Amino acid sequence: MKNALGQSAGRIADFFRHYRLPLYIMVRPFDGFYAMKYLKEGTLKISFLNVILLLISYAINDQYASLIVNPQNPLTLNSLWHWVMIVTALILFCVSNWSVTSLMDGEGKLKDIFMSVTYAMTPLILTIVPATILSNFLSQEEAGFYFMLMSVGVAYFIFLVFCGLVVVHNYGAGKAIFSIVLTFFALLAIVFLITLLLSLWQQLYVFVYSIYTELMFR
Amino acid sequence: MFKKFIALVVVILIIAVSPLAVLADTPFQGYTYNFWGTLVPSPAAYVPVRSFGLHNICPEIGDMSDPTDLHADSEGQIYIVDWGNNRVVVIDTELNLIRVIDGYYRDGAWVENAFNRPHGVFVTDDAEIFIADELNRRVVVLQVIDDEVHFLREILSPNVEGLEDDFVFAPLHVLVDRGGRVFVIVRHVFEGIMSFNAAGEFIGYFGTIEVSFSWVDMAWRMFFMTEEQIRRDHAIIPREFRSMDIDRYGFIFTTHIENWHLNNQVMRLNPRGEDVLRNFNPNVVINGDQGWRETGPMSGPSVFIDVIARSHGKYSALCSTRGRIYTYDSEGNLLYVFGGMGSLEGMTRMPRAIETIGDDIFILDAHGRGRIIHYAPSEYGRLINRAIAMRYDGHERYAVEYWRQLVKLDENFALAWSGIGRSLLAAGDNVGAMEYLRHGMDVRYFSTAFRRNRLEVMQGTLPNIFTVGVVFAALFAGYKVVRRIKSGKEDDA
Repeated sequence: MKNALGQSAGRIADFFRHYRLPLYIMVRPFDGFYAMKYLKEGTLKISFLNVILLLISYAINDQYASLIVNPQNPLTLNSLWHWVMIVTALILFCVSNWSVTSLMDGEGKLKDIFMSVTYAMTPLILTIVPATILSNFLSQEEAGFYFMLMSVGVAYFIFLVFCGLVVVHNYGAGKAIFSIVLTFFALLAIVFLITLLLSLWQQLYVFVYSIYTELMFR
Repeated sequence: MFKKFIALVVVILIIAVSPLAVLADTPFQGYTYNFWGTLVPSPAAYVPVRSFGLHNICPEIGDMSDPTDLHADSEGQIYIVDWGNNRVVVIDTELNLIRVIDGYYRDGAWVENAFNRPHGVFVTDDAEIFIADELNRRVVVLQVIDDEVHFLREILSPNVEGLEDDFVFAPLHVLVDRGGRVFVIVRHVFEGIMSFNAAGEFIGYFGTIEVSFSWVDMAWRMFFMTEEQIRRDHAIIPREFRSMDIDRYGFIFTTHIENWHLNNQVMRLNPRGEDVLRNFNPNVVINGDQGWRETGPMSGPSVFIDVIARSHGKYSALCSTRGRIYTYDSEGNLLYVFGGMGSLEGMTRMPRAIETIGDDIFILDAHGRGRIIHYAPSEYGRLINRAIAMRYDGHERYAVEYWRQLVKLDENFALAWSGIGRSLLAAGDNVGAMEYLRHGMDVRYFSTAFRRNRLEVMQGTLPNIFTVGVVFAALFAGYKVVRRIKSGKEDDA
């Protein structure tokens, strides 16, 4: 019993030893992402943990940020829907970036891209929750501090994603920017194809269903 | 026992059939919009009292034909501009005909049928009658002396440099401020409201609407359009004014044609011609309905064809799409919406103009024989008007009585909750104010209450925290000193 407890405690400690890498990436992005990919220090566990932490902190922000910065309508507020949006955006971005960069001599695999985006989320997580707490001590005139903190987090996140893609694909800055621009076009193409597919499926369904009704009434 | 049972049944029946729902007896549903722009049904703030046409007042002068404007002077006389019959009919609120103005004495001679499609009328406090006489291309100023209408002067097309050669002076609405400046809305003039001095000389354009011009439009014009296309494209020009009214401070409320339905359709122009209308809620634009059907009867956005300044900073705008009247307060809150289109009594078919006498509202309906619909405030509307009046005059604490009654009548009315919150704030109860202002989604005042409460809490707790901190620091310093002395002694030893 005691041994098992010690073992699991050791496992938890091990887990958090891994979490030092995302924090290290915040300070030394290029070294950190290099270690993540080429020294194989990055794990998908940490990636998923970061995504879950982001979703939770987003929900906390929805729920507990003060009325002044967050005038949400309680009748329409749905954190679950926000979660779906975030996860969809994440998957779409990773897939479209992967499909673009694999044509542009990018060295990163889908796993690397996913890991670099999720490892870059740490500053978001580290700013959203403190900003939410801070917002409950701010009046309307001081709300700028809240928005400043939030936008610092977002800007840092974007910067880290950029660094991560540069390292993971072994690109120069210009090529990385070009690949990101192409990524957004690929994203639009994917969304378009999904919409097309859905509408075709719907037409197919209607076709089959009308044949079925024809047969039933014959 | 049986008798008791019968008595009970009778009592229940009496309660069941008693007319509890008398107030709901309007042909339309009142509503307002909450903070997020969602429609919230409310009791009807105004109820139709009566509707009347000229056939109810004086059948011998015939019906109205396409009346265009309605104006009430300071004595409570109502001027109806009977566009199709080239005359102005004056009645009073007891439905007596005062006079019909279709001619005047000019230099002692009677001029018969003097007007050609008059469109707007205004009466100053000196009882000078200004009539915008569209097809005669003039604004004519009349005065009633010894019950006879006399010609005073007329304002003709300004003869100044800068006007286009084919400029046609077609006045639609006219208005005079206390300084004697005359403001005229002219058909197809986009530069603004034409203003004239008391002598009738043109002094310039007033309240020009700024042209909104997006970068996308500009790039599109620069790179993707040929010269020919640009020439044929609609010119990017300011929008036309539609109607106007002056409030007791000399500020002019106007409505104008709003193409994109994203901005306010009402402006409040100060004497320099700048828009000073206030609206603190970006989610609800002063634009009437926030959502509408795109097709079918009565579809499309609200179109304000007339606006009227009312007491205590309120103003009401009349929508010609759905015949509703939208009333806002001086902070831009939508107070109540009433009226509607239809053939029931109290509804309009072709609303043209709005006028107010006291708290009552009159709508001019140009459909068919033409009639005027008279609305009076219900208990609910009267409470709102009183509460807004108290607030506007700065008596927030006395307004709370009315807000509390309003909450009893309609607990979905957010303005009432924030009204109670504001009065609590004025009384110094910051925590209670925060609670009520949160219900009313009044973010500005919530922030004030929050800041005061924060200061109070800090003033209460910070001295204790600092005292404890200072005591600890003193103890720590003393401990250090004692240790140094001790260790010094040990060194000595």
